[in-house]
Amino acid sequence: MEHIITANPYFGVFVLFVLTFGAFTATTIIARLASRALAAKDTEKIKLSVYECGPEVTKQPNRLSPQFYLFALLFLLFDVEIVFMFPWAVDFKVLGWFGFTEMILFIILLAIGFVYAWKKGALEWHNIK
Amino acid sequence: MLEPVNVSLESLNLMTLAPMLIPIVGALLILVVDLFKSNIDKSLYVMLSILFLFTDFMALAGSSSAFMQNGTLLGLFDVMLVDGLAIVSQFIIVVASMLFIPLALTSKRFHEFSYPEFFALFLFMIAGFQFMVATDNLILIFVGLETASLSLYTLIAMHNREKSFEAAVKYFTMGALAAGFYSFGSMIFYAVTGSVEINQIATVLVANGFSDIGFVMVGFAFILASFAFKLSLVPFHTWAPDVYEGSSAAMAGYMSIVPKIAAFIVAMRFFEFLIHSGLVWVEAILYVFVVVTMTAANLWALVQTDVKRMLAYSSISHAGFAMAAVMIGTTQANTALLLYWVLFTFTNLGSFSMLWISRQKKMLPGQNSDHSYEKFAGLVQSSPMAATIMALFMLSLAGVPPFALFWGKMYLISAAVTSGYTVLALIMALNSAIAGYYYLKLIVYMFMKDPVDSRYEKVIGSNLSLSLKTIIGIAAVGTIFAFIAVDPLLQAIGGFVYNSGY
Repeated sequence: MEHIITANPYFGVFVLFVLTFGAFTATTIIARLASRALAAKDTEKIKLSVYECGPEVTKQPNRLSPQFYLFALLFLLFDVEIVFMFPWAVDFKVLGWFGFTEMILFIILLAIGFVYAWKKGALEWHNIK
Repeated sequence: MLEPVNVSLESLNLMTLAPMLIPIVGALLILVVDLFKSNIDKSLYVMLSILFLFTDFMALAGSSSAFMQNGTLLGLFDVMLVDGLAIVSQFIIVVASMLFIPLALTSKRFHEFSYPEFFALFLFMIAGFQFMVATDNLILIFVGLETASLSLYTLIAMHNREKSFEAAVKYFTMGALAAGFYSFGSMIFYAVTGSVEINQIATVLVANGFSDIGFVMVGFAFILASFAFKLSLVPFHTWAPDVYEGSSAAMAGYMSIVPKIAAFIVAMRFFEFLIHSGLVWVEAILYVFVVVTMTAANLWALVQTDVKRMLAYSSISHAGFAMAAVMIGTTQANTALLLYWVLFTFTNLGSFSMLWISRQKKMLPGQNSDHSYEKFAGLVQSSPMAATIMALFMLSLAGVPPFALFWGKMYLISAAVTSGYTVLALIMALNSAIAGYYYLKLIVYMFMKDPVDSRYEKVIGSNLSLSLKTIIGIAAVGTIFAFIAVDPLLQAIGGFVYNSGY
C-alpha cells in the first residue's frame, strides 16, 4: 500500500481533525432535531411540575441516567482499541513480529476488562451488581 | 517505504520487567477468579496475594544475582533501570507487603477485606511502586507513582468509616497537588535539558555548567515539593496524621513504610547530582527541611493524646531523620538510609499491628479517639505479654540499644559525622532524646498506671488471630535480634549501593 504524500506530514491529521469535528457537530444537531421531532410532547403544567411541599423547586434542565456514563466508559474501551489498531494494521508488515505480540498483549488486557464488565453486568440496562 | 522494525527479544531484556509483571498478573487473576466464583472466603485471596508476592520475591532474587554478575541492567528500550538501589528497595517493598497482607485475617470481620478488589488493588499498587524505583525515566516514575497512589486512596476509602472517607479525600487532594507539582517540575527539567532520563538531565546540566540556573531553581522547587508531600516532610506533612487516623491501623503502618521508601529512592536518584554539583542552596534547602521535619514533628508528637496520631507524627520525624541521608549523599549515608528503613519496617509495622489487634468496632461511651493513651493504661495487669511487646517496639523506635532502630540511627549519625555534618549529627541525637519522651509516655501508661476503665481490657486483643500473632512475632523477633542481622545486612546493602554508583 502506498502512503499518500502531502506537503506537510501532518496535513492528513488536520483533515481528519476537521472531518471529525464536522461529523461530531452534525451528529449532535441531528440527534437533537430528531428527538425534538419524535418525542411525545405532553406539556401539561401540573404534570411536569415536581412534587414538593412548600419551597419552589428549580427544575433540572436535562437529567441523564448514570447508566449512560457507564456505557460511555465501555465505548471508550473499544474506541481506543480501534484507534490503536488502525495504524497498526496499516503498518503491519513494518512493525513485524514485535508489533504483533504487542497488539496481542493489548487485546488480551482489553479482553480481561471486557469480561470483567460483562460478568459484573455492566452491559445490561439498569442491572448493575 | 519504511524499514521494517526489528526488535530482538534479547535487547528488550524482559527479565527487568518480570518482578513488576508478577503482581499485575496476580491482580488480574484475583479479579477473574472472583468473576467465576463469587463469595469466596478472604483467606484464599490472602494466600493468592502471598503466593504472588513470594514469586515476585524469587524473581527479585534472580535479578539481584544477575546484578551481582553483570552490574546494572537496562531493559525495555533503556526505560527500565535495575541497579542495586532498585533491587534493595524492591526487596523492602515486597517483604513489607508480605508482612502486611496476613493482617487482613483478623478475628473480627472488616468490610474492606471481603472484596477481592482490595487484594487486586493492593497488588497493582505494589507493581506501581516497583516501577517507580526501577527506572530513571521521569515519565515512568510518574506513571508508577500514580498507579500506586490511586490504588492507595481507594484502599484507604474501603475501610468504610466516616473518617476513612475523609482521609481518602484529603490524601487524594494532596496527592493530586503533589502529582501536579511533580509533572510541572519534570516539564521544566525536560524543557531545559531535552531529556526525561535523570542521568541524561544530570549530564546535560553539568556539561553546560547550570547556565539556566533560574529554570533549575524553579524545577527543583516543584520536584522537592512533590517529594516532600509524598515523604510527609514539614511543612507538607499536614495530611499525614489525619490520613493515618482515618485508615485502618494496619494500612497506616503500611503507608508509613512502603510509599516512603519508593519516594526516598526517587529522591536519591534525583538529588544525587544536584547535591554534588556544588550548588550551595540545594544543600541549604534540604538541610532546613531535614532539621525542621525532625524537630517540629517531634514537638507535635509530644502533645498528642492518641497513640495512632503520636505514631503518625513519629513516622514523620523518622522520615525527616532518613531524609538527612539523602542530603548527605555519600555511599555510606545511602547505605545507612536503606538499613534504617529495613529495621524501621519491622519495628513500625509491629507497633501499628499492636494497635490493629485492639481495634474497636464501636467506641465506648466517653471515649474520644480510637487508640487513646487511657486505653493502654495498666495494660501490664491484664495482658503482660501485649504490654511487653508494645514496650519493645516503643523502645526500638526510641533508639534504645540493642533493639533494631538503635543500629539504624547509629549508622546514620556516624555517616553524618564522617561527612563532616557534626552539627546535624548533634541535632539528630538531640531529636532522638526528645522522641524518647513520648515513646516512654506510653510505656509509663502501660506499666505504671492503673487501668482507667475495666471495659478496655476486653477491647485489647479482641481482634487478635493466629496470623496477627505470627506477624507481630516476626516483627518482634526482627526487632530483638536485629544486632545479629545488622552486619551482614550492611555488607549486602553496601555492596548493592556502591556497585550502582550512589
